Amino acid sequence: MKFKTPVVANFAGLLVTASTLGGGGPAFGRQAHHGLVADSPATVTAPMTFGGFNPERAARYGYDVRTDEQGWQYAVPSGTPAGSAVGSSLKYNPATGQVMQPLSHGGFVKPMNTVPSNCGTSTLTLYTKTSGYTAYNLNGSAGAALYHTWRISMSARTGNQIVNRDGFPPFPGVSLSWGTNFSYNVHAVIPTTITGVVSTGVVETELGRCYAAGPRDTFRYE
Amino acid sequence: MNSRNLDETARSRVSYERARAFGRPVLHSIHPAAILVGYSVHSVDEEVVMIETNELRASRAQDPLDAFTLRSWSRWSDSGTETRMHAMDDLMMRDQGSEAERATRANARLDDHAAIRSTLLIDGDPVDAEAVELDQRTYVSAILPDHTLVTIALPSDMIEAGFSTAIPGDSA
Repeated sequence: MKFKTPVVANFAGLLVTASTLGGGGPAFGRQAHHGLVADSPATVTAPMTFGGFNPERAARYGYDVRTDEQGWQYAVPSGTPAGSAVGSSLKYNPATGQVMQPLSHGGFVKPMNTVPSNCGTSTLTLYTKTSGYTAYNLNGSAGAALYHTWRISMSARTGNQIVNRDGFPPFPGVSLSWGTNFSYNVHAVIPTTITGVVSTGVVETELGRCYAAGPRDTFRYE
Repeated sequence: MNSRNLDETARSRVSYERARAFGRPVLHSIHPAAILVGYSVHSVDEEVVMIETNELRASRAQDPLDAFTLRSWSRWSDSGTETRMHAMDDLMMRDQGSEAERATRANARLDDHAAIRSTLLIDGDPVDAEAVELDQRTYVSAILPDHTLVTIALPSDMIEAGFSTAIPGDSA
């Protein structure tokens, strides 16, 4: 059912009457909110770093957290023979924070000294002087997302604001991704450069915790 | 999946008290297949201005998981913007591609659909609302008598059951 024109209908329990909407703040239709999202938004992406295993939590999801001879920790499905890395999560060195990504045949990609440990990416995009979008996308090597603590710090010469979007991904224990549009207000007046940064981005996963490193974006209001 | 077998880490964040402390009506679907996951927040400088009820549709094993959300706002700058953003979140969550691609498609699709006036059933009472239906999803907004803005993004066939503002107990 489309609603391009006024209709009288009764769909799915909404008691619909024959009038289209006017008045302040329409959300839909071509007259509404052009510019809420820019035509070519520049999404800023930053890596997410693995912050360590949570053995108790991993066990609830059917994983054993083990430590190899070199002190690297990794999680494998419960019952995996000793020494086997088949089905393993990433490997994590709690002393250095380094991570090795698992390979499909059971081996690991050796860490590079200049590359931070990585369990996914996070993004921040400022679309307008009052709206933006932020998200995370896990790569699955630390399990699915359960819950996130997510704060965006907005700043401009005209004001500052911290927007908190703590909460749940669509399917806790299944989802690897979450994202949301958000509104903010730093009372920007022309001309103003607005800066946003994910100041706290923590995703609790099945096996442990992933941290967002930034990301940061700017919007020039002029 | 339901709120009983959510990981304890997640369950500790469900926070029924958070929903109660909000002091405004927080909506829940009363469709028999609706399962509460928890409550997410939007706070500004530590003031909670929105509670989002995260729910799932209990489904048969062969069905894909289906999530939906209901938001209650105590303070907002523009009801149309918040309603639009909520619809975009839902559309983008269900789409594939880059963030920019999904955002552009969601915007274009919402541009092509004008809202209609409708009535929403909350605690059995009719409330004036605005609605748009897209791909078996319905996006609704309404301003309640206490000036709470509610925005809803859910499967169209779940609207008929209506909504409740009763917050489940911690043992739910």
